[in-house]
Amino acid sequence: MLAALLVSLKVVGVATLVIAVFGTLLALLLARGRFPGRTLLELLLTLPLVLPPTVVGFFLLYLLGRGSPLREWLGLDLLFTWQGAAVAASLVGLPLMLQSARAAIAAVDPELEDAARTLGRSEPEVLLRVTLPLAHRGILAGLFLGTARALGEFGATLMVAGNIPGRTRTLPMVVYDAALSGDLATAAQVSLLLSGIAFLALAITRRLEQPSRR
Amino acid sequence: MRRGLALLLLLVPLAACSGGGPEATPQQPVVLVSAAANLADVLPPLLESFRQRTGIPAQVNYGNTAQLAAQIERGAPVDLFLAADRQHVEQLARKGLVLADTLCVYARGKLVLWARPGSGLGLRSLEDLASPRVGRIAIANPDQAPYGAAARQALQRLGLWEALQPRIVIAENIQQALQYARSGNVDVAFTALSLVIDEDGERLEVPSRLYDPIEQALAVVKGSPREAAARRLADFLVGPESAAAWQRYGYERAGEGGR
Amino acid sequence: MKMDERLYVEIEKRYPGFHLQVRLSLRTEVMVLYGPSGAGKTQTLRAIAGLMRPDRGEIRLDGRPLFRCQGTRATVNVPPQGRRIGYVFQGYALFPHLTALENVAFGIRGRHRREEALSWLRRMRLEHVAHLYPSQLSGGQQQRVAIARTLAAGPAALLLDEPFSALDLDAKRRLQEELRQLQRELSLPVLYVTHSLEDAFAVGERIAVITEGRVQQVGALAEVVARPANRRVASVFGLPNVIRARVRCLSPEGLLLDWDGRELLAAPRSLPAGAWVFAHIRPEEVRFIYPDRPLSAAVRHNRLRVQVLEQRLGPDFRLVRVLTQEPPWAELEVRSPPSTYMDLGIAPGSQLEVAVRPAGIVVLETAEEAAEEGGG
Repeated sequence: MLAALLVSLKVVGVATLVIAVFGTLLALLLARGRFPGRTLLELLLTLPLVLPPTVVGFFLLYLLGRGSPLREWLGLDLLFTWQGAAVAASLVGLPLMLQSARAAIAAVDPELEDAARTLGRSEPEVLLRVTLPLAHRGILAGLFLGTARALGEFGATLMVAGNIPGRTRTLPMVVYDAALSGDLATAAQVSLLLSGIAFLALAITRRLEQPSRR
Repeated sequence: MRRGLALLLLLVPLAACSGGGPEATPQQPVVLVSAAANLADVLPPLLESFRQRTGIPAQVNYGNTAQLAAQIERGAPVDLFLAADRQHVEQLARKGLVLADTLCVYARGKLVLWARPGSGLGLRSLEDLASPRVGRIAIANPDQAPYGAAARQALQRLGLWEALQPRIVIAENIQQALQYARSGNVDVAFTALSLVIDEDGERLEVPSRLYDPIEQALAVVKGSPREAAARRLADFLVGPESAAAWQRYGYERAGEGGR
Repeated sequence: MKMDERLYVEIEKRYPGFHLQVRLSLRTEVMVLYGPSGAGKTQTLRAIAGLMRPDRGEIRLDGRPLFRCQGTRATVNVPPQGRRIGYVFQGYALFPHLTALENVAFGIRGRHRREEALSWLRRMRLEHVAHLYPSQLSGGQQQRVAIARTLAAGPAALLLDEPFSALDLDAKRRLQEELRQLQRELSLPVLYVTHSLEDAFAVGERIAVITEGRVQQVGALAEVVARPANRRVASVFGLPNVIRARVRCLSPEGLLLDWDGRELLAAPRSLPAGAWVFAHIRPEEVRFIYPDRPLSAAVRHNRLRVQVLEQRLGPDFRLVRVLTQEPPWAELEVRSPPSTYMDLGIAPGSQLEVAVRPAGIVVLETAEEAAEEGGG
């Protein structure tokens, strides 16, 4: 189980990073950008939220496996690696992050950003000193949600990274295997651990979503 | 703000380092085996035995056969494929993804009916399933799992399939079917003998004349950098050194193979 | 370009159903941009600040082009960051996550930002709230912080959008006075948007009246109010029938006015003889006279011969515009309930007579002696 914990930590660690960076950038793009195809992009990014994990897994298998441009051009072989699992985890956690972050950024009064511009601040400064600070609670809440989801990711990961103890077997897979082979004690333990983490993440998210009294 | 950035940068090298598990050394590559879920009990001791004899370590990726085959098709770095049937391996061979000369049947699965201890069902034959005191019956998905297909075949040959339809619960695989029976969610499950060989409970072997033999085949995946080691493992798994273990876990050896 | 011109604006932008066409030239002064909501005031400010891009036109500040898009000349569009135009927003737009001090310091560059910001706060008598957040400040304090923040960034021109509309009269007057002071001290051209005529009078020197996307008239405040260039301008002031007249004397019956030679009896008011005033003839108090009926008390005074120009019937009113057939040849609005004058035969071209009750002629304020006020 310790091995699975380490795998899960690595996977979630990277997934959190990816979700944080891409989630914020994409949320900014979707909230403030005006370009053709914006709605389409939004829908595509929300898909992993509603698709069954096995479908996402199949899609990733094709994206990362033999014959995919990603593999050929970049020489990246992510199948059956924990990095591949991280990709799967990021993909399912991203839409959750996006929902929250996008709403938070859109809620920032554009007049405040305009005011910053008229005061002489460049666009990056406006972003970093006005938009993101004012949206930071929603962004963080989204990040916690997305990370919690990434931690629990199972179906797609199974397809892409396989269930290799010590290498790609994550905590949720331990639960699955233990339950199937009748080892209810382990299944219960790990389930408790995962539930505890998820609960904590949700509690923090809730705190962040409460408007602060300033 | 700046602290956050530094933290992010620290995590990047962490992301770049590779995973755990038995460390592959240049001299001793780790053979990766994709194996059907029902081999979860028999494989570990077999692989340990293999490692002791040859010094070659192996890792296993368990899953359902169709999924494992799809992974291999998309280029997953698997060295040896142990399926729960023949057809998936043959399909891969036709596509040129496995080494045809290594394709052979390594075991024949035995179908059993199992109920958990204390269920008091007292099953003597398959026909007893029609009795009203038997509630729900779990089988693995007959369209996907060979054991499920065999169970359906057996019931069909006895003319029980239609009658039992309302009581049949379809599980994803034989392990899940077994899990349902263990937890009492169903009264009885069709599963593999190898899965319950060491477990208490009521057990009834389904007569082999009632279903087509469940032949489980293996093959070495083409293009594997560890082909030599994989071949040795394949030989071991079908050879005499492993016979005892297979039997112990409820498998029949293949009388003839494609060797 | 005139020698003392500081800010020149000539822009055009088409929206569905609205066409903005504005031309303005500001000196070092406070110019009021006045008009009803929807007239295009805020859009004009946004264009000047660089927050909206016109379809064509030119904007120059102290000779430097900030925007240019016309014909074959090179296109210029300086982003708002580079225009050095301060903008005080209608809702203040203070950053809620920063203290008053941090807000003011936001637009200041250099190592001594905080000291500079503090001195601006001191100037606005706000140093005691420097470390409070906008939500903890009163409306008036927020407004002053907003102004301090904008001025602290060192703009070369100032735009204000309905800056004091949410304040009570006291606070408003004080801030308006402070604004005029600051404008004089810093020698800034200031464009002040409002839809309140009171505010316009309190702050402005010149006024630009804008309706339906076009500047209808520009000129000295008093002048424009007294002589609206057209009906739109007049109605925008909300006051039709504003006249300029001279006081003759205060009689027992009321105030006698000389309206370009025509004598009028207005509501009594204590004013010195010879004083020039603006007076308002209330449209509801102008009555048509039935030629064949005996005169009632309501129509005994202030009789004028008029010609009907046009008539408009609404759900609860009848509005008739007439032209006096004698000096000063002025247009007047007559307003009455819809059911009246049915048999009088009011139609464009009709020659009729009207009378105004003295109580319906009200002096608004004193005007300066005679003509030539500011240029335009």
